[in-house]
Amino acid sequence: MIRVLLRAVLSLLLTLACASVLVFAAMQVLPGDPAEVMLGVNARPDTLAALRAQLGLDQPLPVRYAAWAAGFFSGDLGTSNTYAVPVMELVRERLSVSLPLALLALALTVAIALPLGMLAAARRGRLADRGVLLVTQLGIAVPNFWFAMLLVLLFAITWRWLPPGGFPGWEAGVLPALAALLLPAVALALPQGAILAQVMRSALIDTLDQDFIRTARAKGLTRGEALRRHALRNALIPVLTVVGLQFSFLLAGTIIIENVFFLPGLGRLVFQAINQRDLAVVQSVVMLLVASVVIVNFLVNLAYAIVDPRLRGRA
Amino acid sequence: MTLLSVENLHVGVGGRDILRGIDFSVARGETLGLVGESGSGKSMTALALMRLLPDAAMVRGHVRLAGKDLLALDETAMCAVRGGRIGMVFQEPMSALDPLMSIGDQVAEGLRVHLPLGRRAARERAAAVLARVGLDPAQIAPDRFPHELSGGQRQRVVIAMAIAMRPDLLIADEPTTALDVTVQAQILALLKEIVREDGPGLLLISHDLAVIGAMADRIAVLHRGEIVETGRAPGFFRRAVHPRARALCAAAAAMPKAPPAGPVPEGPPLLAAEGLTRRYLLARPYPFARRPFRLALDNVSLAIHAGESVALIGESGSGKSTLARLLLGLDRPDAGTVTYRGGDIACADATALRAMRRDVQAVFQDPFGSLDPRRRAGWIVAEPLHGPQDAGEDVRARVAAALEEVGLSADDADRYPHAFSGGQRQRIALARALITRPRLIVLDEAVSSLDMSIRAQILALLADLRARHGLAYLFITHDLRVAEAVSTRVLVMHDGRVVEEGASADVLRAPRHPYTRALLASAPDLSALLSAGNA
Repeated sequence: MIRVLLRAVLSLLLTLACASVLVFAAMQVLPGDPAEVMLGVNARPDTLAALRAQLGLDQPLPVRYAAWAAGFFSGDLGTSNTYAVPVMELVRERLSVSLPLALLALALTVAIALPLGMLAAARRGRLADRGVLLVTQLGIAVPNFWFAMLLVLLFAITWRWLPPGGFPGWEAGVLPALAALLLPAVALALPQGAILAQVMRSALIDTLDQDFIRTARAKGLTRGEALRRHALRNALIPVLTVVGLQFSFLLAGTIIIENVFFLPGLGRLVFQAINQRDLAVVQSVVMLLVASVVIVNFLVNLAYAIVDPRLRGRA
Repeated sequence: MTLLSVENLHVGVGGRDILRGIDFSVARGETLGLVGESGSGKSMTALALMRLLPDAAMVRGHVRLAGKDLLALDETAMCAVRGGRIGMVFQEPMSALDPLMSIGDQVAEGLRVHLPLGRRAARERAAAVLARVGLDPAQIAPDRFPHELSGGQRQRVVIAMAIAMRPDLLIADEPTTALDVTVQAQILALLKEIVREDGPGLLLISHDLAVIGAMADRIAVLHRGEIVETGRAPGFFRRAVHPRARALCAAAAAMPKAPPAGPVPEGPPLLAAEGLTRRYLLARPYPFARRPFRLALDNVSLAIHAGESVALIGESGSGKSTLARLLLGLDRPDAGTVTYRGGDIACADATALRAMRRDVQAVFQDPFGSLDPRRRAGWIVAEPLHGPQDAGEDVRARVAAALEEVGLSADDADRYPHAFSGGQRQRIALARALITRPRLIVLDEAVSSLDMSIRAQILALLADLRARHGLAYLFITHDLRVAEAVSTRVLVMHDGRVVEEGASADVLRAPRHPYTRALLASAPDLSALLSAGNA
């Protein structure tokens, strides 16, 4: 197990290093010079040169990469060109919204998917299964911003139970902050939960057809016991894979929902930074997102090894 | 005293009758062998007794266990019977165990379903049961997982689960079909021992009359959902009256006459292998480590002459299929050469290799997996005809001729594989091999998954084709009787090496190598059924 862990950590670091080179290179081939963007087209050449020197753009590529990478891994993400504040500060602020939102949405996703998937698989082909299939099809087909608007209409405007948008910040207390995140999390979780429920259902149905389920029944287990003790765990691998992908998506792919609820999240930060050619922000945030995806994958792989003893020998 | 009595049991699925009113009984300490071909309803019978049939199945009749009708029980009471009073052993030890649960826990789980046991107490009892079936906890710890065990060891775990509660009745559905012959002998011995010591009734289901003959006190022959013959095992064959039962026995015993030994072939061989070695690299234990390997073939040499029939015998993992792949040019050896008519196929250019592939065709084991399900039979058979020499030929006529040669009709060319039975599919595979008019056909377990009667037909067909076309065969098999019947020369493989080689009659009658002797000793034989018996 320790050897598996070591191998996984090594490959994690290697992946991060490769990703950082790619992200850096991609930013370099983008057209447009940040100094020009900041000063406008009519800027005098010597001012331009001075600003370029100040931003470090006159240095050779490898030096700039090394400086950026060293800064990144020691927590110094550079300074935002548009906001003139350290990128780290910006990211920390946005992450304090996006991370809890993603975790909350993911928890709701699993809470929706697990019972629905199990119910559908246990009653395969019967009414309950068809009902689950219909509901989850709808959940996947309907865009989440429409859900979001519906939720706002219902819970914020008609019943006034929850705020319709905005984020008071964690300083305002945990409850108001969570209340502000609840509706967006539900809006995000509905389609994701529908997807996961279908994955869960088909993975469970596959395992329910396996011989070892019949063996378990022959030992005297009831249908439900065989499902819970044997099928569920065996169906977990595809489910974990999808959960990992969903978390990565929920962390930064939520810009539409952030806009609907006026949330200062990571997605909006990236979007704005790209528009304003804020190279330092884009580069660091993209790298951060890449790192989070890679780390989530790493954790998912570790989870595989915990679930499945056959994967412990190799990795 | 009758333990289990089945009366007028009907099972229908989707309007089709699977079982049509069968009756049989099993007494305590008795072994009833239920024998029949695939599709006769054997496994359905077992599942019906356990009430584990799919929901759509309609069941009528009576299944009485010690007088109580199981079909009348509610689900809770039936769960107590399953694993408690009836234990079941399944065919596939590879898939019958939960891969994510340790073997000890899987046995303990069965105990805890039926007894008010704590986790630790159940584990202790499970370890004792595992020891009972020959898995000594000192060597095979109960916290091991199924994938760490061999096929035979896994089947012992399945048996441990079945007998943990000392059930009154044990049902074993093809318990050794997926196992090698030496392992089969051990598992059958274990089942016998359990019946002798614990005294449960054993319902042993098999398509293999030799297995049934070695184990059963009484035999019931199932044919298309009906029991057509029942009787005491000794001399069963001789006494059987029903034509289906007689046909089954005859098919099991029938083997085409062994080809005449003939003179030792001279001249250059058709296909020859010299010092073949193949290593399979395994995963590195840690980064940058030297990759460990498994030696699948270790310095193997053989030669096949034109018109010769050579059998290659060995158990799973002995390297038979690796050797076949190398001989067919589908894989490259790490050392050694394969020469076809004197030319090294490793150095052959594309044209030469294609010519060699036309001359050397192959038929594989699985008649379901080896035919493209989305192509018609005619297309499948014609597929090897792609060389320039076939350009002017009337492909339809050749396909028709090839199909007729293997006993199918020309009209079958327009049907899809799913419309054929297993035996017919194997005929299609054979037609595909024959259409290029090859000199050698490599048959990799080509009759292993077929029923006895179909197997006898295919073997007869192969003998006939060989006589007509002067074909050479390389017959890869684990079945010694098949090897003896079809070959003039045998090679015995063990752990990637050829341990014995010689004329079939000599090797199989008077084996010299200890492994060959063990192999021969483990093979069940039909003599008990054939013997006069004193009925």
